[in-house]
Amino acid sequence: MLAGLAATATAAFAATKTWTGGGDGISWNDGANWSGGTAPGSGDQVLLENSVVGTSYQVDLPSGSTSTQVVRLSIAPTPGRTITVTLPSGNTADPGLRVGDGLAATDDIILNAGAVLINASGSATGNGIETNTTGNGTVRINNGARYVHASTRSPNGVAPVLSTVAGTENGEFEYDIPGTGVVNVAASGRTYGNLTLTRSAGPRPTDRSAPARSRFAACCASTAA
Amino acid sequence: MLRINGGVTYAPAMTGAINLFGNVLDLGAGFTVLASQPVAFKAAGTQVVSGPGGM
Repeated sequence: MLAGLAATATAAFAATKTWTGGGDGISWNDGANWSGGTAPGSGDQVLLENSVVGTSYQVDLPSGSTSTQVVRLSIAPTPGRTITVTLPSGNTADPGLRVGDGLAATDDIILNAGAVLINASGSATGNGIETNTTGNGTVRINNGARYVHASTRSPNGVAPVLSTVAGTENGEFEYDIPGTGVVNVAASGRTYGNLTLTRSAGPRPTDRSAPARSRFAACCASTAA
Repeated sequence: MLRINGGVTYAPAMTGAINLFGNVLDLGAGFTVLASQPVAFKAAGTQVVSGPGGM
């Protein structure tokens, strides 16, 4: 119970950090890019929108062994704009990005139309991007938003906790796993909005003579919409 | 929608059904389904399977 109260308090009093782009304009860890002049801490909520930076922009999480944690990540671009957040392949932390308030039935990651979240983790273990725990986190990919799993790490920090509420039917989950070998993706119980299977490193569309090099097997239980 | 992009072969081998509520666009190298693999098209209306990839 005390743990639950602590989690509630954390969610209730978390500060909201917004993007100003006043630093280098791209690095998550550059405090000058954020409201208040400091990068988000583990108790903060993050809202990326276009009230200060009116154009489309990109935010790169740190490379190296740096692990980033926030209570909530919301990406809400102005219509017609794109905001992309990337956990780069140079990030080797486990997890590279953890988001969550520890509470059940709350959305930890919220992607609105125009939002793109890319998990390209280069970690040797774990999920790269994950909710606080897969038991209580929810990842909401609203229509027009996109999540890209571009890592050899497990998608289990996100895929099992996708929200299926109205408005997510056409949210896109894309697998674009590096390499060209067969990829097995656990499928049981998963529900996706739009599901896209891509192998950027695989054979091009004209290379159909080599189908086994770029294959998804046992993938993908359900698609909605 | 299930979209299979270029160069990708999608070869599910699940014990449960693949439930599709949307269209399928196969731009890849094939959507290969074992005889033992149930695939259910579950939308209320018409669902379209399209693209140059085989199924």
